[in-house]
Amino acid sequence: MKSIINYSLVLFLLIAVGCTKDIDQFNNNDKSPTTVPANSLFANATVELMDYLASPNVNVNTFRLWSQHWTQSTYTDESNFQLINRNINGEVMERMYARVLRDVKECRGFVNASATNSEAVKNTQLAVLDVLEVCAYSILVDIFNDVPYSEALMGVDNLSPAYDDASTIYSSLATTLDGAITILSGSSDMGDFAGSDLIYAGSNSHWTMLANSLKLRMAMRMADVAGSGSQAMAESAAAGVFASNDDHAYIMYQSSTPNTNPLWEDLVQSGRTDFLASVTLADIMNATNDPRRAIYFRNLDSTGAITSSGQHGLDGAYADFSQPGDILEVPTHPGVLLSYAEVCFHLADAANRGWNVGGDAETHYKNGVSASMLQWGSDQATADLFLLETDVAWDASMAEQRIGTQKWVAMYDQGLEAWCTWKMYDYPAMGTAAQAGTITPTRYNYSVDEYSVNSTNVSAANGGSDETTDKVFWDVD
Amino acid sequence: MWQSIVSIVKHFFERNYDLFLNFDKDLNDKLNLFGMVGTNLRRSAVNITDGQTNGGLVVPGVYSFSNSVNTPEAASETDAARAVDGYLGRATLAYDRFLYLDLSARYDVSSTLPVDNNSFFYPAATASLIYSELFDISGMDFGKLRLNYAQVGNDAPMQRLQNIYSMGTAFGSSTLASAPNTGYNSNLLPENTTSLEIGFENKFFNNKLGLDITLYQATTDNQILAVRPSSSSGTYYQYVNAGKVKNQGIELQLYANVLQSGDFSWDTRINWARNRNEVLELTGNLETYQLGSFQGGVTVEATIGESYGSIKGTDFVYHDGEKIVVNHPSASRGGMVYGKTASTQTIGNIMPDWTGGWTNTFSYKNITASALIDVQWGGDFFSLDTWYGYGTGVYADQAGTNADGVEVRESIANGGGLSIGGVMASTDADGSYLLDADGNYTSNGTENTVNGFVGDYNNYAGWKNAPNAMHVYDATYIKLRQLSISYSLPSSMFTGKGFQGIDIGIMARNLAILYKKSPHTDPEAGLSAGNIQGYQSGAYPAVRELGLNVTFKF
Repeated sequence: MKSIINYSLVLFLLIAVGCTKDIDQFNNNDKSPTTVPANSLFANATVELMDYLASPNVNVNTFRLWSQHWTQSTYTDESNFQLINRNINGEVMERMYARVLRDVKECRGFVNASATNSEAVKNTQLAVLDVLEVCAYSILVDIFNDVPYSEALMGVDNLSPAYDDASTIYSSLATTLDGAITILSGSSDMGDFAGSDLIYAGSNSHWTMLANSLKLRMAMRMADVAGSGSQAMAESAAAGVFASNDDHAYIMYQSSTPNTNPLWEDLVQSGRTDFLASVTLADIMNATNDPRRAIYFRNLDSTGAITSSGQHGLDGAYADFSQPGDILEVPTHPGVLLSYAEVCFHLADAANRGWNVGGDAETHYKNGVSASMLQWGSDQATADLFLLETDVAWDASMAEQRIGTQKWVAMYDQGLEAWCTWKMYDYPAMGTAAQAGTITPTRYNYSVDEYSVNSTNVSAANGGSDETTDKVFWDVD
Repeated sequence: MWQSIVSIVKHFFERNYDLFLNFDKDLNDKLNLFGMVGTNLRRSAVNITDGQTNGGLVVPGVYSFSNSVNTPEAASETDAARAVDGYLGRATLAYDRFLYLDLSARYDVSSTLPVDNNSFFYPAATASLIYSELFDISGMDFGKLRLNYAQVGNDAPMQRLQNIYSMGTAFGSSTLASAPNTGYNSNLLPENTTSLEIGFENKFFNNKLGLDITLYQATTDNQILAVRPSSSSGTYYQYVNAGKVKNQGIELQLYANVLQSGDFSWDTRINWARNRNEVLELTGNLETYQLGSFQGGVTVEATIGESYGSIKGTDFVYHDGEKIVVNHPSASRGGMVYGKTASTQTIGNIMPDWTGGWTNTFSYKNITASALIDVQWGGDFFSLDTWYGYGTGVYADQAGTNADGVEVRESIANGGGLSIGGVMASTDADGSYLLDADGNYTSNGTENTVNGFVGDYNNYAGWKNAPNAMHVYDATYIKLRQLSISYSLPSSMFTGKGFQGIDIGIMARNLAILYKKSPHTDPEAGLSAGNIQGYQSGAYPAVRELGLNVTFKF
């Protein structure tokens, strides 16, 4: 009897001790990687950034509506600037921080850890990531003004980051961009990023152009901000920006899901018929006999004019009015990050201010209009004729109105940039939305989730004011 | 017709290896020691493969992945395991059949925690005094006082220590990988719940009357939760040891044999409970544990120092208890709408004041009938259904004629709309609203006599204009939860037939809502399950169940 007990105890201890050692092996996850190639994160960050900008989904990106290019046929909440009901302001933070910037940050870690890439290749890759990061943060600032920056992306180490001053963020982004430009312009090899580079297929010179173009955009945003150094910033960028439509930054989407253009997903795949031309864009394009009308929209009237429900934000039967054009319904339609047309208008603005960016305002303006025409499949002769239209032809005395209006029309597939264009120039005049009773707001307010989980910090942002009628720091007149 | 297939294959197993040594010894003629020591080795694993077609099926009716229009995305797979090695002991000391002391302790080592902190020890002690054995209390058959102190340790969910990446469907020739939406944590500690419980169990008058009372308080330290951080931290959810959460409550149970006369008996049983949670501490600089964030701009939260389960959203703005009304934002609609607070406020709480149940059982000879009434008193929920339903005019009170005899859906100019009462918001000479320091409307108390517009979805009561608080309802209900009747066939029929009896019964559940405070909906319906209470969306009526039971007794 005693020996049985003794044997049992020995067995018991053997089983117990034997199993408990290395017990953590049971927790291994064999189905998900804990390290991934840096280039896969780089590609994903690019796609996430583009998906946000291209999406017309009312839960995601409302700027085709806020810029008054489109309005909704029914359920017109977002055309009337509602943000809270569907957490649209929370969504943009989630997308930029948790999907784009987080991937960029994690990617940096793997780039630095690479055992095979040379220091030069690593630095180039980090510079490319810097450009993406600057793009994402500048989007957040352009939408919200103050956002978390210095304490952001720390994961479990900081669950409620403080908000940083918007102009300070912009300065820091400009510094980051300058560093990236220096590295990119002096290098030629981005190593294994090349095959994952959905924008430029590994062309360093084009990334240098994109970085300069982004720098020019940021400089022109701040053009009216005293002491922002925007003139020097624009002038130093100007020589390195895009030189033709061949340079501009876009990705070609795929023909089958999930890597299709989000436009196709919402216009075609969803089976919905939500969007119509807004009267604001319709009136301006009709008044100037804009040849892009038949490309931007379909279901035009017999004279080739865009028809609309008569007031922005007013619902209307889908079949009765002009709808987004067929070209936007192609799943492989490119998603545009930054276009050559946009760059031309920035240069026109800078030249009009007498800044030394090369060339004159009129030439840059005409280049912008032409670039847009060509981008949308028209030709130079058509563009030249259009540039003779009374309200289109260059008029130095109405430079801001011309630049603002024609840039806004050209930014048809860049809703966020179109809205920012209006904020920069206050042209064209936005219509009063039917149900909101106001014109387009100048910023997003902060999300319900931020007030829920980060209330102390969000309440202190923007000097304590969080109105959609407040302006971002660069929107000064 | 759209066709697709989704195939989810899930395997789960759990194995327990137990080795126990039991002992039972009378130490002297009054003191008995009974107990065991042993090990429990638990091994469990879950394995899931989840695949689906992409873009529908090429040939209708052929449900195979190869029949997918587009190349299917890779199946998602889970392969996770848990191992817990437990060493435990338990001893019960009994003294003269009236005083008992239960002591137990357990030491666990878990695979789901970091190696440096993967073990946790948790003791428990229960002392029971059967005072009916000590004192002769007239009419009392049984009386017991129970004091219980227990700690319970807990490990983490599987595979939550190391961040993983998700692989996407390649974009052309570019592979895609993304950082996870939920951040894992390599520094998790075991969680520990310490509870104190006092219970009384009493039976009187030959067990015809019984009363049990339990008071409890439990505090969980280092509770392992996936909390909602600011998304600017880089994740949607983050696993943390979330701090300290307290849970306390009282449970009462009363039963009585009300009537016993010949073959007839009537038994009644009443349960009553009240439970409260409170967040005492949260990790880091987090101020709120967000239980849920919903469409409509509504959140449910547990904030430090506030009552657990607050529903937050926009509220009415009040002046001396009257709702302040403002002009409809759309001039084409006109009329008045209720003003909303500039910031979100606490507009309800999901926790009921109390819950209860009342069961009556009647027996006569071989027939037994039983009825259960369930009560929830208090607690609130936000209804996304009325939020949109009032916008789209599906409710009866937005149709017909108003107090002036005009169709309510007529324009305000034509006398339509509904009276919404309230007081007018104050404006300055330019017609701009005068706001207080918090940005809220103010009023001088002038009564509003203008109706609220009802004519289309931009009306005063729906999602476009109403404060969230207008769609928060009291979740109180009294329900006839269950009725059953059963009949036992006389046992004399079965002598020598190989079994002892047959019972035939009819059972019905969810028969009637006897009382409720929320119009339009069953307050229990919708998302009122799991941790996410207090929000209704797409609520169905409760399913009424009817069942027939035939029980063979062998």
